[in-house]
Amino acid sequence: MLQVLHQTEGRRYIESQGLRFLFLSGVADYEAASVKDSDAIIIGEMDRMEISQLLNVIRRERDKSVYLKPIFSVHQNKLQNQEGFDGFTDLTSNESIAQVTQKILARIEKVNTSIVPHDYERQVLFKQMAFLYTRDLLLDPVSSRFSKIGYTFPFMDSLLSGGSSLELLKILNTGVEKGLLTARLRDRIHTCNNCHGNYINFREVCPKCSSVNIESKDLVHHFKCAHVDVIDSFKDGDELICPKCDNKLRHIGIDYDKPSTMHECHDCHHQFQESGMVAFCIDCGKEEDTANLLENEIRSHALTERGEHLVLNGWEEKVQEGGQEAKHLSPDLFKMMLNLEIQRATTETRSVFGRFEISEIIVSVLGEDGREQFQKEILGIIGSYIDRTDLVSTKSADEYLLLFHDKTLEEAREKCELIEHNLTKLIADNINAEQDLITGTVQPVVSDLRPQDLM
Amino acid sequence: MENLWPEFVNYWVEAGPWKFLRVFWYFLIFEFTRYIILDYFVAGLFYLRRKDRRHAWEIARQKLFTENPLISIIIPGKNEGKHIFKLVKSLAEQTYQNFELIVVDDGSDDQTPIIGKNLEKRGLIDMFIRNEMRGGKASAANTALAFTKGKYIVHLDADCSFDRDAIENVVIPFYLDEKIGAVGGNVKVRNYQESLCARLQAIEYLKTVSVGRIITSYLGIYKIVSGAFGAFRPEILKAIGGWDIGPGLDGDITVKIRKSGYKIHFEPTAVCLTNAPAKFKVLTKQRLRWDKSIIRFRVRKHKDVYFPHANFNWLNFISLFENVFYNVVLDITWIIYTVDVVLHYWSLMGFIIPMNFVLYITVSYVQMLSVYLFSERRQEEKKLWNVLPLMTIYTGLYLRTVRTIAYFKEFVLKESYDDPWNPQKSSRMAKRFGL
Repeated sequence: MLQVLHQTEGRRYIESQGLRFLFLSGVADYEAASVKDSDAIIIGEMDRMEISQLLNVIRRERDKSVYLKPIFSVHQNKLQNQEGFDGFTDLTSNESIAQVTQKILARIEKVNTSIVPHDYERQVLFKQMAFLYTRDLLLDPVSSRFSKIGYTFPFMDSLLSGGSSLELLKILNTGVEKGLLTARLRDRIHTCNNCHGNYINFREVCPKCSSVNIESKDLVHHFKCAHVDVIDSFKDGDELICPKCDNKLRHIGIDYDKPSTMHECHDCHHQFQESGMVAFCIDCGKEEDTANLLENEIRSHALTERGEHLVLNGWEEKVQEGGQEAKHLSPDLFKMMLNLEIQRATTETRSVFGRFEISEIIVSVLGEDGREQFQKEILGIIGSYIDRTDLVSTKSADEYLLLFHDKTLEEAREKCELIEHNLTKLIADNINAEQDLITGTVQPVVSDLRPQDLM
Repeated sequence: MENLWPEFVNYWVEAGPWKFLRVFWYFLIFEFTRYIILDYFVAGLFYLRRKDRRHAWEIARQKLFTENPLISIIIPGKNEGKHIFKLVKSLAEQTYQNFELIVVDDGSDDQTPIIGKNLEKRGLIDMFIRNEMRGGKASAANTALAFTKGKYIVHLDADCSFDRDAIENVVIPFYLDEKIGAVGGNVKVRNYQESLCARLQAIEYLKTVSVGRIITSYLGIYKIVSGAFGAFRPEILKAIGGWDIGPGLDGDITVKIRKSGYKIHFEPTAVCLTNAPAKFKVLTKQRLRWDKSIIRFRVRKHKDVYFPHANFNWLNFISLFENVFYNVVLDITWIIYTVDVVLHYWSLMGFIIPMNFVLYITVSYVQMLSVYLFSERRQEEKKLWNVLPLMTIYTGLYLRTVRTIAYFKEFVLKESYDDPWNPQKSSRMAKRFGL
């Protein structure tokens, strides 16, 4: 039996089974301290927007006793799944939410937040993992027309501004790559490469002028006289009459068949069988080729043993990608190293500065994510051809800087030519362009150089 | 000197002209008259008028290039994907370039749809129409016809290739005479080096297609625009409803155009090369189909040409009559001739058979000389001369036997309606309505 016990400073508390439930009827009721003091939260009658706002505020807190707090709703509907409520109560009698609360609280106790990741994305991942652990849940995507990608992920949605997005999928993917989460494919989605929206209208268009003003018509083949034309030329009222032999077409399969269909564009009058397909993004209004859409997998996730270990023992910063990245410096660090080399060059020339510029044509066709992926791939390729002592950096997807240590200009040039050859081949395999796609240059690092002129 | 002649020659020299005529009447009356005297007579006239023709041709050519009309090239076929790219390449070399290319895939069950769609996407063909259900060659050609936009239509087979000026030359005749409704191209055998079978067909094509059609065209009785390469005026094609169910639809449509009051022209300079069957088994099948179509179309479907009526036309009559006479009637006559000789001159067979061979081989060489005079590939075609003696057996025995079997099967059994060359649904209708 749930009972309203008292009302303190405008807040209502409900006690049951020795647990204290904070009842919130609006965003204005929220205060972190009072949430911390209560064992669970019950969210009263609110509209969808208000519920989302409230959950966002709670789950974005840094304190595990706030953001992991069990939350119950007075509504039992789909929203419950989408928002990741821990249960439903009608406020009259329900002991089950008390049991659930006790179980969750016991698990929250075990979550170790003494070591938390530094960067935002990993913090989100950790919070999600902690949520899964405390609820002993599978993270199942829920289809939703309010989500930009067509699916929401309970709990995690509240952590990111704008709700579910490709950023969220990326974070989950990081968890999978690091062996913290399992993944099971549930769906594949296509999103706009400009705004990452999934609300896309696929349009059949004329392959010649891209107009949507196209019409499809059946072709009719009259067996007797071998006449073939679009069905309109056979139509005579409700009947089909062959324009060649004036015979009535009575029976499909006996007198005639429809071997195919033809489209006609009412704008340019082009006739064709295979219409073009373009994707129109309702969110940003961009129209693009379907091949340019981003394909992403929607997967359900569960904690792995390793993930659970991290939740219970705190985040280890060793959970990092190793290897190649060691050679990749941030532009600032690269500039610093370059400056040092310039100073060293007052006595002798020991290093060579190299630069690769990639044609804008290539970079401009890639979306934001595509550029990032492209940048990673290029860095990976460059990294595989340079020595351990050489350094590489990039400021943008179209420019890559190298610093070759203890190499002659000739040696550095050879390396650069090899890299340029392989990059050109890689790009030419994927993009059909006739002009030079990559320009590589090298120059010795001498004392009168200034880093700001090179970068 | 006489001792040097073989005995059978000496015999015929001594037997005198009347007996020679009595024994070899079939050769002298029909074959020698038609294929030597008439051919050389017309060839002579053709040669004498060459200057006028060249002048008119130049004017017509100028008109074509001044007007620069769009030409619709249509290529209907089944499982022809493997040939299309080569064909497109061949057409890209043409001197006349203002054409649209429409390929109709008649329910292919190989890679043709993928190849066709790919070529269409790459802009190498203008329109690729895939008919999921096979309808037969005529329906595929009619599908293409429905979407043509050109002033002239050129019908091709996908496995052909063309001389660089072939498209230009097949269209120019339309500017020579407005009454010309269709122009036949000059189809030659490309793979003549592949086998003896192909080589014999190469000679046959040169004699019957290249030269034979120059003669019939000159006389105004040319009766078949080859499906491999022919040009048409679209308004006529549309008026007569395009192609009817085959096999033999190329001959059928030519007759339909003739009956509409238009002339048919053969253009020897519009050269197209095609692959002939390299094996006799395949050739036999092909010829049985072709020969059956002569009975089906020229004897049955278009029999009205032989009878007086409001639209009776002597040239149409002669055109079809010559075809039927030299194929069907003379086939029967040859049997009569054989029986005649066997019954009356059995004891002389030792003189008759070798003399027949001498006559036919000689005629073959004389005919080949006319081919040589007309041809633009003289040196190349000289390679064929060494198998000429075998033409007597090829045409006189092999083709005649195949022809006789085909005529019997079509006359008695109407077998052309069961030919898998057409889908059953179409053949059933054609048979039911006697088309």
